[in-house]
Amino acid sequence: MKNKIRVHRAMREITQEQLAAGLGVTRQTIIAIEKGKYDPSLSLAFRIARFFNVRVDELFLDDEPAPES
Amino acid sequence: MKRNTFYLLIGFTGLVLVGILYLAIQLSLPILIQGAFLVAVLVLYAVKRTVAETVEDERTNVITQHAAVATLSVFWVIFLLVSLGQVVFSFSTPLGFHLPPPPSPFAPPPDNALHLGRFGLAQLGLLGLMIVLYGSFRIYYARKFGDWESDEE
Repeated sequence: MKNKIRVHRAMREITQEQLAAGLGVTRQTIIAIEKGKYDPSLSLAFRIARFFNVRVDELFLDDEPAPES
Repeated sequence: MKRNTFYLLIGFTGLVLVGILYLAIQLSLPILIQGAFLVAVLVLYAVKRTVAETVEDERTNVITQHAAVATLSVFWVIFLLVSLGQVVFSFSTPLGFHLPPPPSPFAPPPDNALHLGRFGLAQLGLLGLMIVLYGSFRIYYARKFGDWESDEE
């Protein structure tokens, strides 16, 4: 799943370390999420969205193709 | 306690346990190593709670979960293979389905302690294999979920 965490971090000039500390996760987890290697749980996704004060769907983009109807 | 100090403590405890194992063998006292091992595990679990700098987040838990499930999926097959082999050995002996041979003055006396010891060795080997499997799967899933990824920051 693609996401805009890196963009929002850059806009607020927050390092991965600071974001990780604010969310109570490791920096490796932030790196893995930003690179799309790990999809966070709903709970963590909402926490990240709250951290940046944006909606979850503004932060995470579904790159799965839509099912054909 | 710092994490590296904890790892040193694990190594030191392992060395002490090897010494106690040697002593238990010399004294033919299995309860000695069993008791020492139980106490060591309890102490290490208690000390682990005081280790600082340990952040366990959901990704760590996911890696642990995947590694544990994968280990079990492979290990039960290996465990069953070894067990089936041992069952065949067990039932091929005079105590199994076969009739006991006529008593011979040259036959050695049955040594149940030796059989139990071999069973223990087989179990230790399997446990060692399980640890190797788990470690390998952990490394695999840690890489899959982005461990050791570098970043420009």
